[in-house]
Amino acid sequence: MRRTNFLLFFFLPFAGIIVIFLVVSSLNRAAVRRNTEALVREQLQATAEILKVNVSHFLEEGTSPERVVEFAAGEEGVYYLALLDRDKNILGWKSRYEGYLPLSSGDTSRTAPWIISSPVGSIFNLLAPLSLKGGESYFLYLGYSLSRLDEMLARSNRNFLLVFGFLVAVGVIFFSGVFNLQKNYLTKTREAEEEKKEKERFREISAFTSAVAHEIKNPLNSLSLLCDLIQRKGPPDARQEAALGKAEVRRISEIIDRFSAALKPFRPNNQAFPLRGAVLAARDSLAAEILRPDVHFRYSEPGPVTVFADRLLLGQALVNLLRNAFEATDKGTISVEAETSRRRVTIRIADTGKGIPPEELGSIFDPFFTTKDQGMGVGLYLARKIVEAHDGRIEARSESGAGTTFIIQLPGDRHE
Amino acid sequence: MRRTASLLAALLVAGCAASVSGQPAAQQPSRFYNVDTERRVEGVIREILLEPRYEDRSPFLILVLEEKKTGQRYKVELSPAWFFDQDLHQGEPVKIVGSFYVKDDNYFLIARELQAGGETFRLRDGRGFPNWRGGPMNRQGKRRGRGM
Repeated sequence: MRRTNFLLFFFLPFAGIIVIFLVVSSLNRAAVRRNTEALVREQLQATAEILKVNVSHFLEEGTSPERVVEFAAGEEGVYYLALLDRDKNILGWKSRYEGYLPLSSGDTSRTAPWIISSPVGSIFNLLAPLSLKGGESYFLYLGYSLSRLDEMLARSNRNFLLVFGFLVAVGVIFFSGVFNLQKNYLTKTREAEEEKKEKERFREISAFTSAVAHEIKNPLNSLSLLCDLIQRKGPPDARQEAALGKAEVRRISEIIDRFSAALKPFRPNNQAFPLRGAVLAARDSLAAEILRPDVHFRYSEPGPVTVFADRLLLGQALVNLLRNAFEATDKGTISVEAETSRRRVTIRIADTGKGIPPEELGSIFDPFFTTKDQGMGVGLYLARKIVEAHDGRIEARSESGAGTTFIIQLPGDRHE
Repeated sequence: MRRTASLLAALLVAGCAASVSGQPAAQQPSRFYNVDTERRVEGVIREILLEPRYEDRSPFLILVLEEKKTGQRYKVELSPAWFFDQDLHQGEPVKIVGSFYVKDDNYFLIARELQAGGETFRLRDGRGFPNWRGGPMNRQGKRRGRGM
């Protein structure tokens, strides 16, 4: 599935769910707000009616408007209160806030309650007529606190944001997880396909190379026998030339053998054995070849390390890697460190040689890649193939002028 | 249509003339902030007083202002003294937006916004709610007198 399709398949439905949630939630909250406000209006209007009755009673008793306002403004939740005559002139007023009585000429014609917002929250305003038994008529102007309604709505908004945030977070985590799983699956599938193609190509090349090697080695054998014959029975001046020719034939044969070996698939015959012995044997096999007096060899392990591998194949890989290290080091130390855990054995082969330039580091395990005059470029390639045949991994880290470290990771000893 | 437009224009001119005449536009009998009587005035501080207001809750800073256009003098109520932390001086020119009220045949102005010394001080919101509510601890907060 392509990235765009994946987005369409997963993220769009998620975004749709979020949008639906937003819309439904907003409608729901608006409805709750409307209903709550209506309820509060009814309740406050009922309270105002009671207040009107009390105010009327005081006025009928002859109490002055200022005194009536003093009394009525003490009610809980009343922010401000004013008594107006029939022409809507203010006779008396009182407010909790200095000089704050938000009654303008535009408001005096109102017959229904209205709500204003202020720094202390919403305020329910009511301008209600009241008539006394004696026929006098007044207007009572009230401002009730709606802070509890504000608090409730604020809590509702906060809860909505919390739920929304939680939904988004869970959705993002879930879909990111699915996305990563899908991405990994696609990568693995692609790698498997590439590996399959490579194996197919390798098999074809291997078969072709075997056939070519076979066809070349037959005449080479004849040529070698002829050189032998000339060396033994030919004229004395031709014997030396025949020996030289035989050596070249042997060299051609060796090259063909190494190419054939490099292209053959490995089938490890695994067994458990101590790593120390294999490393030291590899070092010893190189002793006659390239060991140098100024290059010291060191092997270390925290305790006996056992590997489960094909002894011969792993030995060959170690020889190749050690040869590479010795060839790169004129003076210094080559160290092999091994450590083991339940799951893997790690072998580090480090030299203090000239190092590998960064631009070449990515190619050193490729077949027939070499920077040496005499090399064929199969040593490290074979080492990689052998390690991979054991389900292991090999990598190289190098710093120009400071040496190179090869790190081999093999599956742990399964007999433990 | 033309007659209606002429009538509207006449009303507009009359309204503008009333607002620039220098006399307070309406006579508000009670001492509260009434947006109907709100006006912008410009003048010079002639006196600075501290007077009790609103049930003696806290002494208020009062300016005696001489209006530039009319030369008329009246008291301008700013805010509790603790809320206003800017120095004002006699003779200093100021611009004030506020609501007029009349008491004992004298005009008074409740200020909502004061411009002095190149600064604007917001004392009340658009409906007259006092910005100092919250007590002296709110002085350094967002509702403090110093504005813009």
